[in-house]
Order: sequence, then C-alpha cells, then structure tokens
Amino acid sequence: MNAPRAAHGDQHGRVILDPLPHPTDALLPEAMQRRAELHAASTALAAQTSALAALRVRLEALRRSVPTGDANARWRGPAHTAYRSSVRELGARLDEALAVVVAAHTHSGRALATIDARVR
Amino acid sequence: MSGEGAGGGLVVSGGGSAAVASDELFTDAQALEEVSEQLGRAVGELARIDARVSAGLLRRTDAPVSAFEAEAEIDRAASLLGAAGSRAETIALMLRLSAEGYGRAERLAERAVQELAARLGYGIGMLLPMLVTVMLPALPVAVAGLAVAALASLAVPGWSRRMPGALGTWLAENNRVLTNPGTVALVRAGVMSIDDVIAGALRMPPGAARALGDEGAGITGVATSAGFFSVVGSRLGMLAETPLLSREVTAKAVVQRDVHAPPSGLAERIDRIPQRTHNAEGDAVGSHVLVERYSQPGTPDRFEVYITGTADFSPVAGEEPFDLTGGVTGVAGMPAASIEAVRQAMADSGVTAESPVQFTGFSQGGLIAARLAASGDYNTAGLFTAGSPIGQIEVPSTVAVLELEHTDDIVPALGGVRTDYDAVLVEREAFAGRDTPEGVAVPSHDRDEYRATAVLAERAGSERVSDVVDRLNGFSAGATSIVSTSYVAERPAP
Repeated sequence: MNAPRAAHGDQHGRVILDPLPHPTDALLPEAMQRRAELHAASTALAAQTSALAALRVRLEALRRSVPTGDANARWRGPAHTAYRSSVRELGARLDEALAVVVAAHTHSGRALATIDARVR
Repeated sequence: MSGEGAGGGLVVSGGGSAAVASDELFTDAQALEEVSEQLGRAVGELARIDARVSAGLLRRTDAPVSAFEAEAEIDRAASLLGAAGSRAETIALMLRLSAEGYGRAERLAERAVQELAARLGYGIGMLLPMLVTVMLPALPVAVAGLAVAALASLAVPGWSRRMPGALGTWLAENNRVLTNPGTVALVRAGVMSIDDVIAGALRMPPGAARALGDEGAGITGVATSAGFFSVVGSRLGMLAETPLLSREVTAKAVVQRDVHAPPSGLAERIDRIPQRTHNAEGDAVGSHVLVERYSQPGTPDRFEVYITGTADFSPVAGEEPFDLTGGVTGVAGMPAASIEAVRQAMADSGVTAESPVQFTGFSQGGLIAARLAASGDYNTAGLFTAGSPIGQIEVPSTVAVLELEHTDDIVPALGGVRTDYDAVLVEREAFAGRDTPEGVAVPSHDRDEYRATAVLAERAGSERVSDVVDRLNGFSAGATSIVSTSYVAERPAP
C-alpha cells in the first residue's frame, strides 16, 4: 500500500499535491553505491586488461632477446654445455611466465566483459 | 676461447678488467643483464596491475570467477618472472666470472711460460759462447733464420721467393708455419726472454737476472733487449739511428686538401692511414703521416694523426725513417727517426701540447702512435692501432685505446707480453679455417686483413668494444671544417 501523498494549501485555499519523488531516489543509497562500484570494477578491470596486454608484448620481445647459447660455435666443452643448458632453462621459465601472463590477460578480459554486461 | 661465431671470432680483453672472452660471450652477458633488469621492471609492473583491482571491490561487486583467476595468475606470473630474473642475473654473473677466470688463468699461463722461457733463455745465454763455436759452420743458416724473423714483418707478395735457396722455397710453400698462433706465442715468449739470454751470456747471477727482468722488477725487458740490438747492430753498421734527429729528420707537407667528413669508424680510419711503398722502378711513393685538423666554432681545433707502417725492411739505416731501424729503436723506447718525423709533422700542422689529439697507426705506425700517446707530451684523447708491437707500452688510462691484433700475426708479438690492461684489445685469428695466400710472409699482417677485423670490431656487440669505438668516433664528430695534410719524411743517411 502506497503512503499518502504529501499536499499543502495555496493562498486561495486549494489543495496542492506535492510533486512525486524521482524513480531513482527509491534506489539510493545501496543500489546507487553498487552501480558505482560496478563502474569502478569495470574501469579497474579495463586498465588491468590493457596493462596485461602491454606487458605481454614486452615480455614476448624480451623472450626473443634471451641468448640461445649457440652463438660462439667454437666454444666447446662442459662449461659451454652448462651455459647452453642454463639459458635454455631460463627460456623455458620465461615461456611459462609468459603463458601465465597470457592466461591472466584472458581471465581479466572475461571478467571485464561480464562486469560490463552487468553495468549495461 | 677464440672462434668464428656471429662476431667473427673476436676475442675481447682489457678495458680495465682481467676478463678475456669472445665478443659473443660478453654480448650474451650484457643481454642477460638486460633481461634480468627488464624482468625486475615487469615484476614491479605486475604489482601495480594487481593493485588496480582490489579483492574487496571484486567481492562487493560479486565479480565473476575469472576476475579472481586473473588475480591469482598475476601473482603467479610475478613469482615466475622474479625467479627468471634472478636466474638471468646469475647466468650473466657466471659468464662474467668465467671470463674473469679465463683471463686470470691466461695471465698465469703466460707468466709460467715467461718464467720458463726466461730460465731457458738464461741457460742458452750461458752456453752461447760454446754454441757459437760449435755452430760456427752453420752461421750462414742462422743468419738467414734471423733474416726471416726480420722479414716476418713483411707482407710483400713474393718476398719468400727472394730468400736464399731451399729456405726461401720451403717458406714459400709453408708460410702457415709463421701464420700460426703457436708460432706467435713462441715468438712472444722468445722476445720476452732475450734479456735473459743476454744476462746469461754476460754471466750475471741468475737471481739478479730474474730480479731485474720482466719477471721481476721489469728494469730489463723487451725495450732493453731492443736497445741492446740497436747498440750492438750499430757497431756492425746496422740499426744505427741518426744522431741529432731533431735537426736532421725533415717532415715536409706534400699534399693539403679539404675533407668532407671525419672518419666514422675503425675501417675508415685504417683507410686513411697513408702507405709509403716502392713502385716498380724502386722509387718510394706515398706519404708517411697524414694529419687531419678538425675545426668547429667555439672549440679548440682537434687533430687526428695517421701513421704508416714500416716502409723499408733493410737493417741498414738509410733515407727512409720508417725502416727496421726505426722499428727496433721504437721498441727500445729510444729516439727514432720515424717518431721524430711524426712530431715534426704534428708541429707543422699546428699541434701544440694542449691540442686534443688522437692517433691511428698500422704496424710500426701504431708503435709510434703508442709511444707518442704514452709520452705525455700531447693532450691525447684516443689511440687506435692495428698489428702493432706495443705490448709493453703503457698509455695513460684516460686515453681511449683500441688495439687490433691477429693471433696468427707475429709482428704484434715482437712487442712482448701485454702489460697495459686498460687498453681494449680485440684479437682474431685471421686465417682460422682458411688457406693462406702463397708467397706472402705473414698474410695475417696484411693491412686489408686488419681492415676486415676493424669492420668486425665495429659491429661488435660487447659494450667494452662499442664504448671505445664511440669515444674514438666522438673525437672528430661535429667538425665543420677538416683540412688534411700529408707528410713525407727524410733521414739523411748516417
């Protein structure tokens, strides 16, 4: 049941009804706060996704700059073998890290899409 | 550790460090250090990315699982990248340490060989009178052998055909014997032990000989040995330098012209070194010294001095100041006609004690350049030498020094074991894995071979080389006017 609408009288004794409240006023404060937080989450996730994409590009370039360990073709022996093995291991670690960054980027993108859908 | 890798088999040492390694190894170490630094930055970037989205915000907005998964992956990536960065740093450190270790081991081995050669030399010196008596009949052959050593600095096609009989034929067919890192090492050790032979021959107590020699206080050494030969040779009419050089040697300007641009690299510097040779009629052609004067408004004029190599290999001093006498006298650190000629050319060009100067020299030209740079008489900014016997010359550490040496070229070995570790030395085996040309005594001493090494050094990835190349190039950069003057010097025959 609706609450009685407020009214007041004018100078001629007529009853004047007060204006109806705006529909969104009824949502405050919880709904409005939630909406603002969704916007904030969307903005943060967009920045995160974009930063992860940029980082991914940088890391891919960095991965290419890791030495192969084969450059000095006439440097032979256990020391060279150990060195080559070390840089290959480093390359593998970087590949793994890069894959994790790619996964983070994918997850962040998905989360952003979901949040954006809620905002709309 | 030499090799024909991407850097053309360049081995780099010096630059104030004991490290000796291939250019590729230093380049790899630099690349790994850069990777480590970049990974450190990436970890920092991930921390900032992580801070953008708080867990509280995600919970309050009832964020999807993927948002939390992203957070977890970011943490994992930071951990992996941090570990990879540490790994890259460790590998780079190990490379640097191995280069340091290799350099120190090489120095120790060099020192051991030097000690051994010194003892052997002393013993030979003690037995010298007896050996001379026994070997008197074979003296002509020995003299021919000495001539080979002297002529080893020749890179003139067909030289060996002019050598006496079977020896000339044999060397013509086996010039690989001289173009060999093993031979070069032997020559270097031999040069270093000449003072010990002399000490043995003079019956000096062994302890005193060692204490005075390169292995001890260094009072006697390559320079005193060269001085000994110069003095003894002069008694026989050879290697006799003209007295009162400053009055008698004349360096005359023969050509002066404007130049459009300063040299922009090592190969261009080698191209500018004048060549004093003999034409088919036997007449000397070309110049000895070229001085370029770089002018730029608001700054004092700068000078780069380019010095030719040995032009006459006769042991008897003649009109040619850039001869064997000049070379031996130069190694001895005594006043040489060739050095005086360069001083005169510089004075004539307007070089004063305050003028910024850079020297470039090939073979004996590099020896002269190093002597002048080490003299302290000039405001020397840079020194670039190719195939020069300057192992025992110490140039002030403020001077940017780059030396090119072929490990199969015996000419630089005539300067003895290296003592200046501030200078950056770029070595390469010129004829590694390829045939030597026929009829050339020491093809690895050829100027074009050094030009090829200069091109490789310009492309070197290691900072140690690129830094000194940049300093050499920076000397003449920005010049708005360049005047080049060529000089020919003469020494009246004694």
